[in-house]
Amino acid sequence: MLIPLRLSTQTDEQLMQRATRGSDRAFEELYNRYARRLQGFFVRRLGNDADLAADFMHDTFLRLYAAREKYHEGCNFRAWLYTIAYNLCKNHLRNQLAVVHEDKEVADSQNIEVDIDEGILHEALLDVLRSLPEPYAMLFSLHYEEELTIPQIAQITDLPEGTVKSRLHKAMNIIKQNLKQYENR
Amino acid sequence: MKIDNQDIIRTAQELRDEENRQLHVSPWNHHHRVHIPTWLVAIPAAAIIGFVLGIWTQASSQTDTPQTALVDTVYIKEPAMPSLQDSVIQDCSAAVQTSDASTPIASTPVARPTATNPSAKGRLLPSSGRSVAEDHIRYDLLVRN
Repeated sequence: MLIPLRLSTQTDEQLMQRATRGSDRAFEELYNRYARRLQGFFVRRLGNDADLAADFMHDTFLRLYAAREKYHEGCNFRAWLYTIAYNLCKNHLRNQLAVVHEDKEVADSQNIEVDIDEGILHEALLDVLRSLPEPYAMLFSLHYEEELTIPQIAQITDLPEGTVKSRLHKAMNIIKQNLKQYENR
Repeated sequence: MKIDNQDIIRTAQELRDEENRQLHVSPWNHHHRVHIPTWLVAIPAAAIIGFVLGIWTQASSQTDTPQTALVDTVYIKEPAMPSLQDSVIQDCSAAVQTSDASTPIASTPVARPTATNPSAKGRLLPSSGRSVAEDHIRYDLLVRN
């Protein structure tokens, strides 16, 4: 007796394997899982341009579809997807992502205490994240918003894991320091 | 309230979810049409193009001017041989003149090519050129440009 396959129960990697063997339904399932999330990532990384973000998301999946036969077992699907997305962002932002704005004052800070009203935290954090410089903004987004692991980010950005860790730490310090402007409001 | 790393992460993720929820995402089929094999398009396209070309060729060949219309009609003058009837008439006029020279005959009957005189018609043909025998040019082979 044939049991109908439920694609929604399959892992990303299993779906990608099916897509590699020519299953468009499997690829569509992957699209349904990640399109919205990826489009949101592009919106945040490309300056809130929704149309541009939709184009980039579309382009990412088209590239993924074109290269689906190169996918091999054991390769993490999300890391692969975000590698394409990251490279598209990097090309769009030229070499901006490679520029490190060293801020010694922030880098040396270990424990920054922020006391802020919870009611304005959303608005304050939104402003702070939008003004976060590259490459910290990209790393923060990949790690905390897209929930990729540090080894995956190191693979995507082609940076050593230690560098990713230290920059994430600096990113958090910059955010805290900028949030201090919203204290006592 | 004191803000720590976890508060920042949690708030950032809430902002992410809120932003993502508001996005309009097109379905995959909207972007990616069903793949059709190339041959499935190429063969019918070739058949249609061939059919149209065939119809066009056939129609154009029918409208072409026939080749014979390009050839000039050339009449060749044949050396007329005096017939028996002409000689009889000439003989008669001579006889009349001889008999009464003071009253000349007003008109001399001349045989003309008419529909009622088929023999004359066959004898004197209209001509638009010189005879082949005189200049050795085959006017019948000349073609109008």
